[in-house]
Amino acid sequence: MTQPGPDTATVTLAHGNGGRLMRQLIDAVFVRQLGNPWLAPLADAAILPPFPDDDHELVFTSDGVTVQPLFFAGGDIGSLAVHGSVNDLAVCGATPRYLSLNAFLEEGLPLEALERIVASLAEAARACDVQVVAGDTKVLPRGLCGGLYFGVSGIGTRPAGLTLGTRGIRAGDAVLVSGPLGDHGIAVMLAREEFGLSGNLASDSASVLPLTRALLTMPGLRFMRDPTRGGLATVLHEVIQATGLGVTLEEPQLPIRGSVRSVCDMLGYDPLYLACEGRVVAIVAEDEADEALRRWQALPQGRGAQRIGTLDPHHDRLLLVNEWGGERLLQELEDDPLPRIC
Amino acid sequence: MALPTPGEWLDRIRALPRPASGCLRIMNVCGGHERTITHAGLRKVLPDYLELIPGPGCPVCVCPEEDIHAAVALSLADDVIVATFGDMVRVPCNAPRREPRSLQAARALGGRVVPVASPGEVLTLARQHPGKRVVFFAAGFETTTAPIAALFSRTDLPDNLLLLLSARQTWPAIAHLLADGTPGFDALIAPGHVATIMGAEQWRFVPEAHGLPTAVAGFTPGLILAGLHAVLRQALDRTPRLDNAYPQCVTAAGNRRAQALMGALFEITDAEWRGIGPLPDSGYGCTPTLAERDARRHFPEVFEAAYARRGEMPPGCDCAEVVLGRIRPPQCRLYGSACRPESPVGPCMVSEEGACRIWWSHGVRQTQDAPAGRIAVTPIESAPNQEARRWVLAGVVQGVGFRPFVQRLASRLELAGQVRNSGGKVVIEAQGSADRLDAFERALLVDAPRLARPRIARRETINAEQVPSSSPGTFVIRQSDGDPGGAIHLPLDTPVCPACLAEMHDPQDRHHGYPFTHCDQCGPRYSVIERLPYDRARTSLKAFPLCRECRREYEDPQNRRFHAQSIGCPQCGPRLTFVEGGVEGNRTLTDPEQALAAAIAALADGRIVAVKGVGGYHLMADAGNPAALATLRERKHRPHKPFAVMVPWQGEDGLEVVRRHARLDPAAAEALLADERPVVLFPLRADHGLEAGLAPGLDEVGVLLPYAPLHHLLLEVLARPLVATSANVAGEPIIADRAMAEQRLGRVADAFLHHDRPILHPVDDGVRRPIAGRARPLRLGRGSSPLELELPWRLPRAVLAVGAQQKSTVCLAWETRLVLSPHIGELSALRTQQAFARQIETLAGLYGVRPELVLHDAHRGYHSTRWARDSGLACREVAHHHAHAAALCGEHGRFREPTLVFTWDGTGLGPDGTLWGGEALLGCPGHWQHHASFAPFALPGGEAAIREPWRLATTLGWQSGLEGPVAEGNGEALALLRAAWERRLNAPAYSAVGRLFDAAAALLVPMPRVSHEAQAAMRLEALAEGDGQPLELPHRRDPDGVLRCDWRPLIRHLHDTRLAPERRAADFHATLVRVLCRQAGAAREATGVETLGLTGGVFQNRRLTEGALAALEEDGFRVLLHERLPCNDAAISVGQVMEGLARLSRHEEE
Repeated sequence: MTQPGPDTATVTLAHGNGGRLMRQLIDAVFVRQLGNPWLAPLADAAILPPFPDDDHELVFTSDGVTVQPLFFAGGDIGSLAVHGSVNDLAVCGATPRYLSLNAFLEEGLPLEALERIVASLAEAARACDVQVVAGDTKVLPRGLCGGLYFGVSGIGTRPAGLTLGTRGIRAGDAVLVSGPLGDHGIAVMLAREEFGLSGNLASDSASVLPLTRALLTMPGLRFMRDPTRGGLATVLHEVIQATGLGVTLEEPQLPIRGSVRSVCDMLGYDPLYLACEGRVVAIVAEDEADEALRRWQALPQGRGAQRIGTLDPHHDRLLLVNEWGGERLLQELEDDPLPRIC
Repeated sequence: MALPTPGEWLDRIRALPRPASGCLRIMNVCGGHERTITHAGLRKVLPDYLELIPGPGCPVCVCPEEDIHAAVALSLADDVIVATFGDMVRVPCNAPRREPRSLQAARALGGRVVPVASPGEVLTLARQHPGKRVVFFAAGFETTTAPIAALFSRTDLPDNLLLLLSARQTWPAIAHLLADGTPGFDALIAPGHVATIMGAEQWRFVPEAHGLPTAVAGFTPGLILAGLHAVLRQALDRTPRLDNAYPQCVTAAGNRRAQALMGALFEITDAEWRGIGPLPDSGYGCTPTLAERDARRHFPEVFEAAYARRGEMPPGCDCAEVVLGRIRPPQCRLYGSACRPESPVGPCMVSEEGACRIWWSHGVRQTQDAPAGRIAVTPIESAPNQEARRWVLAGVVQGVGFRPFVQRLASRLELAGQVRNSGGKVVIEAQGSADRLDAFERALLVDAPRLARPRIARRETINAEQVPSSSPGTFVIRQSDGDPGGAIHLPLDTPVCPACLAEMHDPQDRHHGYPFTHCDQCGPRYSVIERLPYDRARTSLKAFPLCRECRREYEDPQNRRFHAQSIGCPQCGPRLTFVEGGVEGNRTLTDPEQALAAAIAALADGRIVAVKGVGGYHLMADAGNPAALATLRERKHRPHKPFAVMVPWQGEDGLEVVRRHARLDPAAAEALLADERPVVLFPLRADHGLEAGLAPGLDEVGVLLPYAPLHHLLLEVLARPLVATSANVAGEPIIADRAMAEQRLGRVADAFLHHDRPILHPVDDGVRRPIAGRARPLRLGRGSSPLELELPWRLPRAVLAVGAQQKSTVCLAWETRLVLSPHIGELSALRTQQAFARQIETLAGLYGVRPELVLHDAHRGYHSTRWARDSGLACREVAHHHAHAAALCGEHGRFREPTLVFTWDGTGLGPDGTLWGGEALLGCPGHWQHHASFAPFALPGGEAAIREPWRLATTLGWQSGLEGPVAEGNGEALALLRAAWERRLNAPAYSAVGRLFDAAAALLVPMPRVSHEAQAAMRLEALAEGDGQPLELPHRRDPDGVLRCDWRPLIRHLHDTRLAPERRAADFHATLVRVLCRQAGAAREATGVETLGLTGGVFQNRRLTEGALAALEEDGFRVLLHERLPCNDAAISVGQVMEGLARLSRHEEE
């Protein structure tokens, strides 16, 4: 396979001109890592085999991946691109099958970094058993994007008739979360600000497929969501808006690592609003909550799962109750949260 | 010709008919008159339609307090002797208890005070003591002033004789009474002695300008009766004129020589009358010819200090009202109880010419014995010239016993008709003779109940058929119109009155030991009102049908429970229940006596009891039991925030126990006793003997007196101070119902003392702190809110102002009215947000006003802002500090004149998107310029950082070029802080003085974390000792022209460990005072502004505020502080309205 010439250790605008350099880049970086029967022809579109039966429906998702920095403890933009779409499909009850990948490369991106990212992406895709079947590459002038952006679309299938969503949610249902909150948000933030902290703060970026599969067979499963941007609080605000019910969270039950908590405290962030990339929030009928928790805790990804709260018909807010019964309201996220204490 | 004897005058008076108005109220202006009238028993022998009213005739009584302060101070000076007329020696002033409060007390401490009977004695005294300066403290009316003038016109006076002149003219006081249109009297007996000097003509203005019969009278019983006869004749003839009934001594022009003497030495000035205020042209001052002898010029610093110390009348003292003839002595709250001749509180009980002293020495003990008997009228057989009128009375007329008062009054005057509440007003229709209707109208305003503030909104003549009366000659109270609307005034919750308390203590009374004993002058109001008009059926007491006895009182016009809505007795009223959780389950006692006893036993045993009061529950515990306090702190998760203490009511003025623990100043004592019964923050005495756990690290304690009868019952038996803190879960509103109490406080309280009178509108205790001579509100609550204010002009639309986030309040304003809600709390908790929404509904519902426009803060994260923007109503934004400034200017009615307002607080979003809090704003409501501020600083970590002040202290240190962290910072946390600070990560820019306080506190006091708002600033204030040395901080103009204070030298100074922390804390305060002066001076130089305001939560700090006030006034500024509103964010909603008012009307003008 032809390697890009030594004069181009970084991405140049010429890599995006549709010519030889571009072909070389695609071959050397993308096809080599992601190669599969459907991607190989590098046609304008991927031709996919028919799905096995009519009892399944298609699930389709799309995601932009713009994380800064590109590498952080516990992951990078490549693995994140896969997990983002895979998890979106998974929480809808689907089995992810195919991804498309748009790469926006910034002039000056070291090719070495690009290769590491694509390798990581390929590994994540293999682990999730999905194929990248279509793609596109653009190169943008320096300064127009933070090194590299991805646009990802994903197709999955799920058994027909599955009714997951906010409509099934009832007062009294239990809210579960599959593991510690805020890890990804803090890991990325620390990496971005180059804090150079010691310690073991790492992103939770991972596929949630095992977690979602574990609950799919339960009749009492109402709703699943991966709490990415805006974190747990934002997911639950959406639930509240859709159902008109309140959510009461028990603060002592919230799984938050001590290290995350102390960094958040010092920097003034609330882990409940920080992104996760490998967690699931599930809402389950009250009488099946214990079983759901048991199933999750039996999985390596779900060891830190907790039942954290309840759908509460007595109010319509997101309420956090502390160990002595004190209550705090969690507001919808502000653009720019400013202190209110006077 | 021999003069008629008193008996003959009496016969002549009796021979005259009763005036058509039914009665004649005659005021006398001279204490000598009053003494004769009382001691000769004239009131008893005169026809009962003549009412004799003692007036402002006691010069000692009206001598301003500052003069007494000054005289006391002078008497204690080394080389001064104070000589004064006998009475003056005993007149008390409002000095703190540990200081002499009268010249007599000063003498006991070694002060040189010599009572004299005449000016001549003073001259002798001065000659006998050439080594001392002899100050003649001369209070008097014209009669006394003339001989003083005579003395000082002598040319042979020794140099050491000085004059402290406190002389007054009498007629301006009468002019003052007449000027407001409700003088409270129908005729005047003018003072004979004064007239001998000044001439009778001085009084001609009374009949001619005001149409009141007037006679100058002498001082024997016969001469007084002659004067009374003269005015009665005038009244009957309807020819008011000036009669000289003392021609033996009085001429028309008076004693010209005396007048000339006085004129040469003294000039007429505006003068202060104690308790009344300044009256124009009512006093005498020394002219320059007398400058050398004017004590005021000799001792300017003494008078300046005295002036600064003057305050209100002593707490509870009604002398001012007595002097003005508005009440009779026994109607004073202290008459005979706290105030007696042997221990006088007010001046009227001191002077031989004071009405209280005269009545007391005549044996008058209670109102019933009053010689000024009721206006009794014999029945009229025929009813000639009947007419019918209707009055609509506005103002505070509901829930204050007004309708019963109207009925009693009408019955006395034998008017037929009815009275009813209607839409916040009272409507009266009455039929009778024109004179009686006139008298009735006057009495409606003048004799109204204590809590009432009536105003005649409309008066019309109607057809007699329109007066719906069941039978002729009867006057009835009708059911209220259900129709709301109109200028409604909400009655406020009022503490139990002395009469009800006495009944509760009387074993023979059916209210004995009953914890809900009330009448038309006391009891719950706002907290139990479902809707207006105020009637029992519209209160939560509707669930308690009156028993036969209570019904009888309720329906008896002569009874003080007549139509009093919150009454009840053990048979029919609310009852106590005690509930205790324990290992063997709940114990419930429904027998009220057992319930009370069990609660008392539990408290005595050191347990925590939730006690339902007027506006909600208190958590109570023995304030002297450290274990109980520790348990309460632990269970409430409230490690530091001070607890309020309710102390037993003891001693004549109820304050004896308070005095044992705290240093009472008069303003604070008055606030403590006021109907509001707030928590008042007092400096602790060194030997206070209270548990340190009440207010850890502070030298102040919040005290309140019992106000509900139930509190009295508890504290009388326990006889010890109790913690009385609002029962809530931290950050949530006060709990007011039983189920919620048991559910939410189950883990805090050991037991509950419930009652079954529902609290419809929960309301906290108010909080006040004495600052600069006044007990200023920090929180408005029960008894002081909803607070009604008048706007200077009409609002084009009804507006709702939703305030800020912490210390939330809301304001409803429409037309020219503004109503401020009670304290709601901090809007972070769901329950507080619900209370916020309910409060808006409550105000809108009670007043029947639907707002069309919502005014809110600029901060999008405030719940109030979100609520406003979700309300569907039109919204306008008012920047936080603009609202602060507008609230202060609005409170002082300054809407047009430029004011420089320092708005110093902890955080608020400025119009430039940074967090303000150290701003000086110049302008007027609706138009503010950013004049000065502080250099901005970054505070990484958002709200969390505010709870850990060491972080701010550390970053401010870094910004000031210092390296080390503050004690609490170490390791990874410090590294994170440094990284966040360097990158300005989540680090908004601040210019808030409140945050500088936090940083300074963290530098001087170990404080890893604060658990309540303002904790750091309170510790810093408590720490400061001594005056402190101010630093001159550099100022620079920023590109926008804002003068910014560079605070870095101050931070560096705080690091100077060679100085004691107490000293550095004092330096910090002193430096901020300098900053105020500097910024104010710059504004004056640039714009000429002379009036300043201080507002924002930072000025809850007494040391800073008092220091600033003194320094700025020294610099010649006039300084405005809040008096009725808190300076903290509780005033934001008011400021939003004031700002909105200015902008809306400007907009509309354009």
